[in-house]
Amino acid sequence: MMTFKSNIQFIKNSNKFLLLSIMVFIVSVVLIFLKGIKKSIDFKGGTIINLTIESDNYDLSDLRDVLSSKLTNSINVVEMKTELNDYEVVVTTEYLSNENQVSDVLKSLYNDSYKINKIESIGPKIGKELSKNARNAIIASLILIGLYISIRFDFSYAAGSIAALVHDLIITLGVFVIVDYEISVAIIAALLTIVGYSLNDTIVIYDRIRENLTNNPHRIKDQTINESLNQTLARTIVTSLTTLLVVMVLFLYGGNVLKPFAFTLIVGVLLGTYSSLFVASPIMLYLEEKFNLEVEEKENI
Amino acid sequence: MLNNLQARWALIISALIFSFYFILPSIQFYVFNNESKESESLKLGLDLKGGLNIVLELDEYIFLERLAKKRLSKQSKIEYKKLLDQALQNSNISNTALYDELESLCDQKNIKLNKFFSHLSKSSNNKDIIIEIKNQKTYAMNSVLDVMRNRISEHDQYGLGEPSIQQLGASRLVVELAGISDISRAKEYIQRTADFELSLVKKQPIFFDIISNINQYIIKNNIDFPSLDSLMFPDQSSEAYIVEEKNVKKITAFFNSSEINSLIKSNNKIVWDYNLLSYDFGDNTMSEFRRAYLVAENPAISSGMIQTPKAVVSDIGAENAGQWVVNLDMNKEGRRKWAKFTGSNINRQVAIILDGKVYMAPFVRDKISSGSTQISGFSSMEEAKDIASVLKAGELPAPIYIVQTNYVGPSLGEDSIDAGSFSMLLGIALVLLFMLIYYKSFGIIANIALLINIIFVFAVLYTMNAVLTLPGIAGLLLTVGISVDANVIIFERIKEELKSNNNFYAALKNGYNKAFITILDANITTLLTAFILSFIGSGPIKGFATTLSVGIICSMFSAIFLTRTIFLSLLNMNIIKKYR
Repeated sequence: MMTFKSNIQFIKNSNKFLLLSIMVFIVSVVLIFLKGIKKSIDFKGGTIINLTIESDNYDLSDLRDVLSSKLTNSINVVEMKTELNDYEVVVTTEYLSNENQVSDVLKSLYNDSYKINKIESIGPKIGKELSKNARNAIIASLILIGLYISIRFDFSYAAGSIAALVHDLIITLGVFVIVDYEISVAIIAALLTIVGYSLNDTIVIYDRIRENLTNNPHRIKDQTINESLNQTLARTIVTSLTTLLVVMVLFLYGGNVLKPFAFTLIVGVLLGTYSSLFVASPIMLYLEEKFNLEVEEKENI
Repeated sequence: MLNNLQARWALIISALIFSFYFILPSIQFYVFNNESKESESLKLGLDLKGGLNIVLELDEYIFLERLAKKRLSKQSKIEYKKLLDQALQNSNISNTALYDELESLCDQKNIKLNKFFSHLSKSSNNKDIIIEIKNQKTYAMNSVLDVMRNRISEHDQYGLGEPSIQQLGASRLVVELAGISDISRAKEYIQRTADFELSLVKKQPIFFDIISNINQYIIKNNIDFPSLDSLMFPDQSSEAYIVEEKNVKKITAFFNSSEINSLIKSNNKIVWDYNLLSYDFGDNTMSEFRRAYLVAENPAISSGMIQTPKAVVSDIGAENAGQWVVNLDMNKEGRRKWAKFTGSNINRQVAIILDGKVYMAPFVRDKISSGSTQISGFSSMEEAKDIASVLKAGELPAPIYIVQTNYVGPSLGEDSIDAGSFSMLLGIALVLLFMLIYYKSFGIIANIALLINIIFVFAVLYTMNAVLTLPGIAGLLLTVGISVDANVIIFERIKEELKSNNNFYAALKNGYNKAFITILDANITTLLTAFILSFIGSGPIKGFATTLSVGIICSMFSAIFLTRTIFLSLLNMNIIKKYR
């Protein structure tokens, strides 16, 4: 078995890392507000039709023209992959209650030399509900987790972990704006998974901190916490690596459907590991000391 | 110590045997292509096997519009319409239910709802009326469900594979049709309004004549079909004939052929009962039968003529007091037709037909001139409610609209299966390799736990009747990470313990005990998020949440209990030395 011994000064340098985090966080918030997060049809309603055309008659601008003349809704036609006589095309429109309108056009243009691979069609009302549900789910999970950690540990631990989670979520969204991805229900699922994962990391560390604090109540807290971070570092890294391995495989080989989902998880695993080391514990320590000072002051009075 | 170990192994091995028992058919089907095991294997979601998933919604606005009293003054009609429009606007803005908005609107403006709904409830309290409206909606939804269920069970005839239909919330239905290729046809079929009719059942002798005619035709033309006398038997308690269920399909196809059909026609048609009859022959052989009715082609009453069917307990004083009955009313046209029909067909059977299936065939007892009709003879509340919801389809049908469609073509589904299974295998292989390199012999133990965990997860998914989706496979892979994590936490802890203490047994014990609470805390929070996730997502995302949760719970057993047992056994057999 390999052993791994480290003595990294996490706490001494925590200000630098926190500053970095805050800067990236602010940049992300600004990006999100300036450019806005793109919503997929899951949340705004719409229809996406994914098709393969195997016809000599195919011409992208032609198809686009015919479709826009036949449909009253706004329409967007994009080519995904073009091989000789095998064209993959994605048609995105406002909500169509009946895809016949599109397939009629296809039939008239290409007879039977086309194939519908996938249809996703979501009415505006459902979209509205899904947005509301997604927002509620993320807020509910943060509250539930905060409660659970407050009960199992205490308030400053909970605040530290929630801060780390919000940090991870906002920066992931910032990355989304940069790479121009859309937020869908699957992405919300990935975000919630990140919440679970990042927390998992944080809790393992917290657990060790609590154990070391009870075993050495008279030592300086900074030192104990730094030691705990180092003791758990091997586990933090090994677990991040195995999880990364798995999500990388999903990203590379899981197919187009899972790609955005796997991408979100990669970003989230990296951020979650970082935040449990450099965000959760320093904030917890800061709050703990502040809180204890207040208690001491009260006792002095 | 030894006994304890034996008990541990007994538990592990029996869990493994059970798991294998559950997943064996899936392995036979998916790995060795043994088609006969398909029905016993883990089901794939529509995103993997391809198919159509649509969500239908009841149009609440039109439902409420139609539910109001038919005879209203013009002024009240306009007032009601205005109220509805306003309520619709409010409910769109605040994303709330339409009738809740209607209630608060009326409370605000001090309008009594019973002005429009006195036919539903005698109460003057708005709250009571809204409750009654909600009840009516539940009935309407049940009726829509009935119609859909019936339609979808016919879906076989389109060769569309296994259908499923479920209610989703208060006003939606999800219909899933696997392996379908003609999307627009399926959608039209599902969205079509219900075919409802009340039709006269022809007498058995007439049916008998038709059957003998067909028999003669079979003989005369040398048709390769058995004599109907060996397949159809007159029913003792009705005008119908009964047929063994296994022959129904065959006979239907035969009757539908144009030559035979022309022998039945002349104002008649044959309609099958919706329900099956079980008959016990007394010698342990049970058989299932279905009634075939010969009914008049022109219905006595059709869609839109029936009003407010309701299952109730009959009033005291009536001859069937205390029993469940269904009361219904008719509109003007229905009342006229019904009076004439019942007047001339006393003691005849009338079939309640929905989408070509007979749900019940009660006898006409009296001439009914007022339209107000009672159907009796139900053995339970459920039976009465079922018929009421069937009749509901004979009211002006509540319109349903498709609000969401998801279709995955068969080739995309296959691609996803390939991509999903490949990444699953590769992901697992990489993790196994990593653990082996990093932890050497300890890694082997973790890897055994990991593989067994995967078997457990599949077995539990199977027993839960869960459906494997592409996100579900992603969840399974994440589970691999989580399961390994538990072992990493434990191993790192044992390593630390070994630094201060060279008694391996003590280090093992401390390592496991200290790691346990950490793993528990960490997993509970992940479970919390998976739990929340299962509420927001639809099919595929739910699949992710399910596999993730099952994986976490199983990993607690395999990564902690199982590995510890292996360590203890190795110690016991002196393969690992107690002292270093």
